[in-house]
Formats: sequence, structure tokens, C-alpha cells
Amino acid sequence: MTAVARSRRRTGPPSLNWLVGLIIPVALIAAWQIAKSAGALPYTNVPSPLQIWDAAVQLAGNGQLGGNFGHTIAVCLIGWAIGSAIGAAAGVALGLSHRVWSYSMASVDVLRSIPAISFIPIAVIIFLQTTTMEVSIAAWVSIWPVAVSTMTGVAGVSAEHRELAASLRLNWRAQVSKLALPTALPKMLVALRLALSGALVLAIVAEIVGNPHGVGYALVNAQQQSEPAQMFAYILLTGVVGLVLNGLLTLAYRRLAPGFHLAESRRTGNGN
Amino acid sequence: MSTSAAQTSQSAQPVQAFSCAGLSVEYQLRTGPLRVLEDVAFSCAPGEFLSILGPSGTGKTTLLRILAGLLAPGAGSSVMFEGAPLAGPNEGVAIVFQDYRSSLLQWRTVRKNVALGLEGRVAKAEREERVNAALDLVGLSARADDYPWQLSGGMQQRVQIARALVLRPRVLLMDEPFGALDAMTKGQLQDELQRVREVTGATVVFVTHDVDEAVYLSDRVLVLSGTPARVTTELDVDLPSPRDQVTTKEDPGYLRARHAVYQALKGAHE
Repeated sequence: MTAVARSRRRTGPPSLNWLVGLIIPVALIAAWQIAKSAGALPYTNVPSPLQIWDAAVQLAGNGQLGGNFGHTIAVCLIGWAIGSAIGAAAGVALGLSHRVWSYSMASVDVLRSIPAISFIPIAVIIFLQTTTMEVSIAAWVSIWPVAVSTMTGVAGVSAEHRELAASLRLNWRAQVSKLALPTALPKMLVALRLALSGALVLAIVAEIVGNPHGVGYALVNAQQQSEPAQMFAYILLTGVVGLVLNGLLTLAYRRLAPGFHLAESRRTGNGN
Repeated sequence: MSTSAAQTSQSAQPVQAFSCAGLSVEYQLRTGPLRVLEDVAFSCAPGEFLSILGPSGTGKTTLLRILAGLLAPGAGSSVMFEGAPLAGPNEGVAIVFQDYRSSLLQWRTVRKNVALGLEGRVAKAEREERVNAALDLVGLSARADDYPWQLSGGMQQRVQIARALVLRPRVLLMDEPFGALDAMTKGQLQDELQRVREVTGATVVFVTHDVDEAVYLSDRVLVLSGTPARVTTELDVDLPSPRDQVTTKEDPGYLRARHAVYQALKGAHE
């Protein structure tokens, strides 16, 4: 605790520097609104920011916005959690057992090279047009980055730490949980973030082509009813949701494993 | 005086902490086998402070890793720990590695680094008590909740020593533990090690290439030299304990021992 506090102080009080990141989006939205109002936009179906805002407020008011995002976010998080757990377990086995690696790595490389999106028709055949189908796709896309980064991460335990583990006679489980996984954690975090955005994308795609629920289906619906302002509202809010989920994950990492990000921020120029 | 009496009665026991005979090691390199140690023979009594001294690259660390059970000796070697053939890392033996930075777990606080070897083995209350005692012994109680990278090199090495002591080892194996530290810190830690040894009564096998350090700390010094290396000289250091950075180093006995070790190293080079 004291360590965290001390290092925060060293980097200065929490500043409002992040506000400068809003300059560009706000300027773009303003330019868009002006262009639309002046009739300078050649595409009549593209709504103005104000129209999108009105559509969002209306959707929020009748509960559709919350319901659809609730569904999609739940699917994304459940699929991501399942896929990440499978990926981490597979990564530990691949990284620590030469035999597992020899037997499975070729299969892993083939499977992860196939675009996850192409599995949606197969998932629909297996699970029909259900939420289970969506979750399975979100999980599938999460498995691979987490598996590969966990694999390289756990294989990176230093010779010194191996000797330490041997001299302390740590058992297999302790070696995995106290040395291998902590060593892999910074790499795993990068993969977990990739997996999370992948799971969100795939959940929406699965809703567009498979399960008639959530944000993806709402987009299709709005398109068929010629409600472009609604479509834009959903799309822009999906971006915000992705940003928030990513931020929450980073925050959780810092809270739950303070030693890691502090040690990393000290190691300048070393990406490992 | 009382400590030396205790040592005599201990060394009268037949069981040595370590005893090696005909110990050899070969590394398989691409250019062929490289024999590092050849026919090394020595023993180490319980409670003894034994230094293994030699120029860099003679195989001192290799020898220590064999004693630690981290490296298997060559065929025909006999290595006994407390009277039984050594087969892998032993309970009761703790190691302090040379490179504290790569040996400590940088993501754990000092306290949790020290606790590592007790986790899952000792109940929480006892674990906390032992960790606190070990940290207290090396003077790090105030930094217990900091991370290793927030400490100086000397403090990080103290964390490693505490991590070893918390196991209540009968034998402490130390691989050039103070080699990377500045002279002042080195002196401080040498004296802390003396104190720790007095409190714990642990046997210490101490690898170093520093003649003064070996003579200052040890009951006995083994000089390892040649390629492949053997024990070329064995020297008892008969100086009163506890030793003092100023007075001991002015003691004629200290100077004689230091002289003898330098002669042995010089002789080995010729």
C-alpha cells in the first residue's frame, strides 16, 4: 500500500491531462454537425450528430438501448471469461510441457489462423440461433491470443527463478501459480485486452447473422426500418463500451496486482 | 572462546554437514567435454563457516550448485549431506544467489518474497511471525511492504538472506553474495552475516573471489584452482570471534592467514 502511494506521488497528482484526448473527437463532431447543417454532406442518409443524439435518447428512454447493450455486453464478458480461462489453461500446458507443445502446437496454429467469424455458421448449426451460440463464438475468439501469450509468458521463467524453485522444493502447482503465471501476467494482460475487444466484435457479428438479440440485431433492424440515426447511435456507443471495458480491465489489473504494473513502469524500454 | 569449545564438541560428531570425495564435473560443450572439477575432496563440519575461494571461472559456483542439489556431479563422485548421499535439493539447506535482482520476485513485496518458501507449508500465524523475525534479523522490518526494486542493492541482498533464514536452515549456501556491492555495504553485510550466524548457529558455505572477505569471515578457507580445478590449499583461520572490521584486520594472525592465501593463489598460477 505504502509503495503504491509513494510511487503515485512520484508521478504527480492525478492530472486532467486526459481531457486533451477529447479535443479531436469534439472538433470532429462539431465539423460533422456544421457540414450536415450547411448541406455540405453528399450522403443524405448520414444523420447529423444531433439527430444521433436524439435517437440515442429516444432508445434509452424506451429501454431498448439498455436492453440491447445489456445482452451484448453480458455475452461478450461471459464468452471472454470462458475463452480466457480455457486459453490460460492451454497456454500453461503448452508453455510448460514440451510433450504437450510437440503434439498440439501445429493444431493450435491452424485453428487460430482461421478467422473466428467463419465459425459462426458452424456455431449456428450446432447451437442454433441461441445466446449459447453467441457465447461460444465470443469464447472461441478469446482462447487463442490468451493461449499463445500465456504459453510464451510461462516459458519465460528465468533460469534463476527455476533454480530458486528447485532449491525451495516448490511443487508443480506452486511453481505455476507463484512463478510461471506471475511471469506471464504482463503478456497475458495484453492478450486479455485483445480478446475482450475481439469478443465484443464477434458477439455483435453473431447477433447480425445468427442470434436475433442485442446490439447486432438492433443494427440490422434499424437498417431495415431506415433509421440511420439509430444505427449510428448503436455503433458509436459500442465504441464507448469497448473503451470502458478496456479501461476497467486495466484498472482491475492495477488494483489486483499492484507489484506488476509498478515494476513494469520502472523497467524502461523493456517490453517483456 | 565458548563458541570454539562448542565447535570442538560438534566436530567430534562423526556426521559432517557435507563431505565430498572424488568429486568431478564435466560440462558437455559443442567443442567437446570440458572438465571443470576434478577429484575435489573436502568436508564441512556442522556450524562451520567454510569459504571456497578461487579466481573467477574455476568452478566455485559449480561446486556450490552441486552442494545445493541443483546440479548432479559426474560419475564416481561421492557427495554426502549429513551422512546420506545427496540426491537433489535438501530440506534444511538454503541458498543465497549472487544476483539478487534476478533472484527476487520483483512483483512481490519484500514480506511476500521472504514468505515464499513457507507458503503452503506453515500456518499463517507462524509464517507471519517467522517472516517478521527474519526481516528483523536483517534490519528490514521498516521496508517489509515495499517492492524489491524500491530498495538499494545491499537491501535487496538482505531480502534474499531473510528469504533463506526464514526456512531456519541448518546450512546456508552463499554464492558470492556480496560481490556486486560497494565496499562499505559489503563490510556492513559481512558483519550482519556474522551476527546472523551467531544467532542461528547455521553452517555456512561461502563462495567468494575476495581473499580478505574469505579470511575475515571464515573458520576455514579452501582454495580452488587449476583447470580442471581441485582443492589446492586448505587453511584454518584461527581468529577470535566476533571479528571486527578494524581490529581483526590489524591482527597479525589475520595478516598471516591473508598472506598464506595469497601465496597459495600465486603458487597455483605458476
